[in-house]
Amino acid sequence: MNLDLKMKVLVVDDFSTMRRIVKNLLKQIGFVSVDEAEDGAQALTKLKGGDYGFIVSDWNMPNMDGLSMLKKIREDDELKEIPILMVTAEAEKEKVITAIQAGVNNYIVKPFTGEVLKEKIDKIFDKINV
Amino acid sequence: MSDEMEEIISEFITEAEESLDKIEPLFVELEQKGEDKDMLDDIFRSMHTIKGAAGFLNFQSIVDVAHSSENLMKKLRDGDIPLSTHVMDAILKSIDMLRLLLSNLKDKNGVEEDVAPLVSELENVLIRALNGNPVPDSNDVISEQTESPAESISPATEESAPLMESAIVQGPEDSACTSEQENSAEIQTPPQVTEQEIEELAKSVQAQDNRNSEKQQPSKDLGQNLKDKSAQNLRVDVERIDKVMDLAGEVVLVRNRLLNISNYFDQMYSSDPKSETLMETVSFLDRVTSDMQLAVMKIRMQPIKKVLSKFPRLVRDMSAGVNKDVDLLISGEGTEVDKTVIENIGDPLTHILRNSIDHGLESSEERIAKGKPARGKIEINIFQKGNQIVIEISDDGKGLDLDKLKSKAIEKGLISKEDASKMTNDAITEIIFMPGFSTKEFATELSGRGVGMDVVKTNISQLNGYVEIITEKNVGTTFRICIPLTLAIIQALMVEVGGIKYAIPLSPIEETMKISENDIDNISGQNVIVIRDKVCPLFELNTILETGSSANGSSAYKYIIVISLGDKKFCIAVDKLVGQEEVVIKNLKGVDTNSSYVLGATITGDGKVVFILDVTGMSRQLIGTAKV
Repeated sequence: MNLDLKMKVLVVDDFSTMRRIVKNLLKQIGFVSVDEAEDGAQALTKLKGGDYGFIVSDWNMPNMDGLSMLKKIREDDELKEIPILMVTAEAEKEKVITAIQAGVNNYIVKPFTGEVLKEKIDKIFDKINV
Repeated sequence: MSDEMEEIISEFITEAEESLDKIEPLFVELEQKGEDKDMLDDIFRSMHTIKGAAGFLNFQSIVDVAHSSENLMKKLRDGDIPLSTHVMDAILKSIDMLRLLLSNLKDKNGVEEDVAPLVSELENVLIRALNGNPVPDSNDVISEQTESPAESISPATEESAPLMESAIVQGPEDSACTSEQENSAEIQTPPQVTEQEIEELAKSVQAQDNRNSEKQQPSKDLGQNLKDKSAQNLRVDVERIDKVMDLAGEVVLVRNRLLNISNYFDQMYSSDPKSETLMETVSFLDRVTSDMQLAVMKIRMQPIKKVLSKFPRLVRDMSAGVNKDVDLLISGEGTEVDKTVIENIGDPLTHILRNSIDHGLESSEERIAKGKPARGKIEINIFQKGNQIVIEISDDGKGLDLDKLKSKAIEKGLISKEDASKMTNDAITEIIFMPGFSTKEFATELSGRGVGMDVVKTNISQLNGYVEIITEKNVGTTFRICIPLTLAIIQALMVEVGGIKYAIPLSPIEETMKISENDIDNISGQNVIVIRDKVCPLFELNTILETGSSANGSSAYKYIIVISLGDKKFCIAVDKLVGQEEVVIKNLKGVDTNSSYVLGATITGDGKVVFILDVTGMSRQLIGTAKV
């Protein structure tokens, strides 16, 4: 696999500690350009014209949650191709299914390690590149 | 532990505490307003987020408590269980426990709480609530096991290694298998997904979830990487800000001296063009320094909401304790105040609230009999007025019984019968702040100390503020607290008595006047002066400070300073008015500021050390005994 580590990644979470943790893990994997947003609404603003290659988003957030953001992104001609990894804590059956139907590329259950995150990302990009 | 890890942990503690601060008042609001979906969503989300982050950091106890509490909240949100007092109590206890766990982490004391009883209690409450059982005994059980958090804060046993250690130490031996399985769910490129795939996916999700709850993955490889701060906000150590604040204070002092010297040169060499340039430069420095001082001060300012957020809960618990129904209304919580105020205003406000609930408000029956609404009302109103922050706590209760206050004070030997007969109404209300007056030992579970209303006065004086009481029988009582906006630098009037210079804070000074000996009257031994038809007690600064150098009676004229603190007005006579100056308060160690009327000291423009006088203290002492 050849993962482009130079792509811009956006971490979306309302809890700043979580953003920091995820950012750290992404940087360990080797990503150099990691940005963050506090909720779905802020993320959408950043994404527009932001040339992001990948999004890691929390589910539960004020203003606009991860699922609404996901739907908005998939409806947007400019953004719809951006792969999205959804972070979820209590992996409820219905929730994940809704996310898949809405077009999420993969999901990851909190808490996770750098290795697991890497595997998920690799899977996403392997699939896209096939 | 890496610095990065330590930083993340401390950020987590702060953020989690902030989240709890945010949701706690919501519970009380929920209880009053009934179930509100948005509010429940907010609460649920915060708890959920704390759990998630704690999982990464491997703080298992926090995860456990947050998880059980979240379960309850989820059922509440989904409408599966009703919002009962039992459920609410249980959730509030879990918040208390989370706070305790966080504070243990913060103190790095290695103390481990046994959360198992609470977790099982939360589960019990949930089960009973689901069965529609009113849970007659759960309340007892909950309070029993959480009542004594002090007991559980026993020194850590040998084997209970600090949590943070275990977060690092716990090996990756089982990480290989879990990570492999965790990733078992395959997802097709959207949006085409077959039913079967979804079923499979859902199954693997369930399986994964189960594993997750069994064994948490250690996050040992967090951090070590690039230090990266959140772009919008910067968390800075308070010490660093205080250092800047200190330096800004020093700059103000130097500026004052420079102003002084340049004025001198301006007068001496007014013809020299350089003199004008010097004046210009110094006045620019003057402006910039003031701006800088303000900017630095602003860094330390925080919304007072931080303190107020705990009050709805407090009022709920306290009013339940005395069987009264109380509504709390808060306005102006966005008002920003200095950090020192945030840190020190909580206790006095708690005492005032407690006093209002205990003594101010009547019981429901009594209220109905008086034709008042059955529910008592307490309002907290905060606003900025000029360069002061005003905090008003009003109740619509019975008002202070002045006669009762007097007789109780006489009984306790705090005042003599003779004093009492001469006291003004204002002076009488002040009685409740006298040390030794309040009989009730207040709030051990909240403040941890048995203290009375006198502490309110002391704490607020320490912030250079003052409290006054406005009371009306059967209408209610208002405690009004006024605190200067900034604590470190104040505008002061420089005066001279017996050849010594003093600084008097400018904010309580209403006016200054020049009077002749003839203007002074004497009413039953107290010197007074009539200002615009109002009688005002007059005191000699010399006498107040007991400087010994008796007033130079030779001069026929005196300067007086009219001080106005709330409703109180009095005059202080001095020999000379020197001028206005911005002074930096330096605290004096080893000086009893209560009895000496000295707030602190400062260095003036001419490089001399000058005492800053405490007019609030004076007013308390002088007006208390004034016979007007």
